[in-house]
Amino acid sequence: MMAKLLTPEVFMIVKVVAVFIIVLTMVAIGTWVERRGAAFIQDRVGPNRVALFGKFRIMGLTQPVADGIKFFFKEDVIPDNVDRILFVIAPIIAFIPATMTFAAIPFGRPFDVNGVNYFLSILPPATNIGVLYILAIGSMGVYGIIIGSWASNNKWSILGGMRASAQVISYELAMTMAVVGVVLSTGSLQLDEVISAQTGLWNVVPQFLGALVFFVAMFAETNRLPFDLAEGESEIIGYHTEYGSMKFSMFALAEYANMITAAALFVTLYLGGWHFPWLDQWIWGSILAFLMKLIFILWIFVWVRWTLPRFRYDQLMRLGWKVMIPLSLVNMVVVAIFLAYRG
Amino acid sequence: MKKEVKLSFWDRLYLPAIIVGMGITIKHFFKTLFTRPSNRYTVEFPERKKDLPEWYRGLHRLNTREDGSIKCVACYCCATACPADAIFIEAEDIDDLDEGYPREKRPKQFIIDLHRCIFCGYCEEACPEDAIILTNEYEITQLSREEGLITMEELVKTPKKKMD
Amino acid sequence: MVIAFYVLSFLAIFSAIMVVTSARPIVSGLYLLLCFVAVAGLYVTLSAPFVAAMQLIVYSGAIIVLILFVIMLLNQHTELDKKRSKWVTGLSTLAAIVIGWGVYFTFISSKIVMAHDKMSPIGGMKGNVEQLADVLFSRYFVPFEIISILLIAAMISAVFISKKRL
Repeated sequence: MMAKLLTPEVFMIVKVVAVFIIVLTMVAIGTWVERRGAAFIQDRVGPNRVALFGKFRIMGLTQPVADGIKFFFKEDVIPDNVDRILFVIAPIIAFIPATMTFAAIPFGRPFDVNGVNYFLSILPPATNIGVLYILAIGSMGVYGIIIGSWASNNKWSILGGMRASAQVISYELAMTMAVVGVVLSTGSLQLDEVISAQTGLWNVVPQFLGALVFFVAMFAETNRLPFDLAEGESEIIGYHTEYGSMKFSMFALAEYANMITAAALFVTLYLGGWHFPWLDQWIWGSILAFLMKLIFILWIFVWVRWTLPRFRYDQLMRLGWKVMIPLSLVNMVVVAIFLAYRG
Repeated sequence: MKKEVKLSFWDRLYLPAIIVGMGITIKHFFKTLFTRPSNRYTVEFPERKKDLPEWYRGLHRLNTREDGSIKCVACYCCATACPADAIFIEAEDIDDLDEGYPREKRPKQFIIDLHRCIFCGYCEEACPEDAIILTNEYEITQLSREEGLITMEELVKTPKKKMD
Repeated sequence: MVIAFYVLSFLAIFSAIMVVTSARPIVSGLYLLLCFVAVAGLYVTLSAPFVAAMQLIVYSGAIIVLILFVIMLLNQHTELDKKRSKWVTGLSTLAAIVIGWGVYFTFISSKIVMAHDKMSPIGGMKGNVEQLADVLFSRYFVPFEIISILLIAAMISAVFISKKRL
């Protein structure tokens, strides 16, 4: 019965729906994990009061639902003197690339049924340009911040947007340069080949420097805490000062979706994707392995956020241009020399 | 003013310090995770009440004697001592003088305005008869300003301290 | 593919016109972004996803961000209403027509158009990167390196001019 239903078209629809639901669910649970994790790290308890049907607390897991309902029913304020069109489209522009980028990531072992090859990523791995697609779409995400900050007609918003744009440009270079190392050692831009090249030895071991640079740049690209100068929720005011209700939550959703995609990219490029000893011989096992690694990286995002203080802006720029880019170049040259020497 | 701090190479790598810091935070995380909710620093209020020290100054109480009459003799000491002018007393004479424990007056009205009270405890200090004390009761909220005026009948009902 | 081509071409041309005509610099910059994205889409329909990705990463992802950054830094909300002399307008129109005609003529007489019958929308996808690298690092190696040197020279001179004290 199941085998008859399994055609490439049906499989594609199932994949798209499943990935969309799972990513958005992970976004929701991510906010919960962040708040509870922060609380536990600071010896607090965190949100644990919201109860399902007023009875079942389940450790406050329904908090994201309550937050979502609150965002939906809040008054949607568009202040005077803002650029109305840009003000409205900015959250959408921030949100769309964040959800688009996950499409290229293979999240499980491909398999054959009745001679048809089924791959577990939304975009077909053979015809896409893999890494470049993610970098290209991901680089669009900053426009949501820039447009939103400009349209707000607010000094603090514009300052936040400017910090964000300078930061993103600086760290994108280092990130791309680190990815070049992986692409060199794989010899292909396709993510499924990147994964299959890591059978046995994950890229994080031979390319530790590149992984480190990518990891740090990932935090800067997603505006997470050691580098959250775009938002700066605790002291400095950020790009979404004028935003409220669903528009604000679109920005928040985009941030968490970006986190998930960046973590998934890190897992794919450096942690062997869905490879895991013993577990990846089954399809479900490979998906489980991928999810486990993804959740671990997401937890590190939260963990780092509540450990490190924010960088000062000049420190951020110095780190980006004087440390990260040279390090990524060193990584690239070392990999290139190694490959040339090996032949 | 710019303070130059010389960092060694090991410090300027940042990573060792970051890893040590992350170790500290994860230690706190697991410590809180594996502590039972009753032993955590946060006291989850409506379900769990905080054990207050004896000297905590909460809602007032008018003490009574064994026969149930109020100890207060309406001497106005507390009302005079009150820095916030929160106590209002109206006295009345007592006709049948008790030979064993002679007193002439008792309060007809004894009202404490909780909106004015600053819970300083001076009334307790000033009272010659140990009639008014501040208990450990801290759940004192009202829905209207009128309910904030606590009368004599309610003050008698305030639960005593746990120590007693 | 044909519909996508027409939609994207319309978007590209429309936004290119809006870049020139819109009054506010930041809106011009955003229309430029839209134009570049539409051009990237055109590259995809022309079965050159690598070039499309490069277009997005380099032009849309970095250069427009820089342009918007500068506009925001200058904080200029509207363009100053300057009186241009008719000579300048006429001369620049003429120059635009001449350059456009030159590009058109070169394109029409190039080998790409001659061979357009042999091209297919999806066929060229495989080995796209390899072909590009092959051509870039063997046949056009010298011009490629000269362009790089030119860019570095421009960068150094920009730093030299902007820094008062080196």
